[in-house]
Amino acid sequence: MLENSSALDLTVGRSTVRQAILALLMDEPGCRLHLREIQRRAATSPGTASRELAKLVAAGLVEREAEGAQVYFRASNSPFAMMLRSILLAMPSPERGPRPRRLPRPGRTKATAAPAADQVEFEPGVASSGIDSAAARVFEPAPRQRSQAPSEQVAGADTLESPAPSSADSLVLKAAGRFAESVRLAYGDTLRGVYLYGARAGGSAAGDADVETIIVLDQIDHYGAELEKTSQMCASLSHEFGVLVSRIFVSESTWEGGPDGRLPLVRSEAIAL
Amino acid sequence: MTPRSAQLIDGANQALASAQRELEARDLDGAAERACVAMLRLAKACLDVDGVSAGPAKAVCSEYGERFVQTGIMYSAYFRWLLDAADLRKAAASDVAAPIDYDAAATVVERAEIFRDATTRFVARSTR
Repeated sequence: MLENSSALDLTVGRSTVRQAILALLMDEPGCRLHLREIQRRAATSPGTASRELAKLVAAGLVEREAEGAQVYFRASNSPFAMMLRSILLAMPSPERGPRPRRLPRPGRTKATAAPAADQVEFEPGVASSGIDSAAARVFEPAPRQRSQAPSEQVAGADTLESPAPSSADSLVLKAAGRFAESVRLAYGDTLRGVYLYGARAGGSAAGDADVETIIVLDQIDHYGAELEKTSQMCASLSHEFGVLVSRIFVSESTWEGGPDGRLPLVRSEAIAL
Repeated sequence: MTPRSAQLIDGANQALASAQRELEARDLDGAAERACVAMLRLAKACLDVDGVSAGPAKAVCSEYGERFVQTGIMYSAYFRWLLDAADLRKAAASDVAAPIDYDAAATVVERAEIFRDATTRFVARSTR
């Protein structure tokens, strides 16, 4: 007969964060928590919590409930989930709580503590150059609003309103939607469109696939300047959603260009955000 | 420093030297690509200190962000620089993205140098 912890490993996987989240939700029947609360109580990052919750939802162990803009998670009432709950409750409590994310090493700080100045690896010249503050001014969390209809719909392209995405897909679409809103705020009238492309748009994406976007601008004089302008929003959303948000910039003239090359294929598969 | 970390840092130095040569030769796509490779190898060297072996670039970026930037161990700009470098490489390899300019390539090479210095110090200190 298997030890309880082994049974848990086999059913939920070996991720201690996933196990901690499941234990958290199963500890109190009917307990319903939102993402931030779960992330805080499981002592992990929002991105990791999102990722692990998506896996638990996909496995049918956790249910996701949306109320307006807020999403709650609760343990499922399925027979399998109830059986797993009985296993979890039979385990000694130290096994059920979240473990430290990694072994401490000399010179390293706790995950939640601000690092000592001499422990942060940075160049003073870079830190004082205002890169972060400049980028932070560009990136401000976008107000929650319905995605704007693209002014020009790409032939054959789907939109965000496509029906019934899975939970993981919903998270990705949310990240992509937030990114598009931030890009609209940053670029205003010079923006011609933001599109999701690649595996995520084609529906063939693995769980950890990037959110690949194309930003179409009226013209692009300095590629590096556009990268810098969107740098902070990409990093912030990647952290927040636990999935990398990447972008390439395409000029309007190229985007509307002729039938040669790969662009028509990219365009036909792209999803307007 | 573990043998694996040392090997990765050596590889990063070679990629960075190539990036600098290609920048001088105005091969901007090549310079951006080599600088990105250098930064990814350096990020892998950091992860090796943490006992983590990550393969694809996206996994390296994710793990690096989660383990070293979200925890405040490394300067947050490094995560941005890593993502920007990866996206610049993607643009350099793309036949639809706008062409990258000299400043963009020079910036990513310069950042790779700073990243190399910080990573070398961090790895040396962490495995002392």
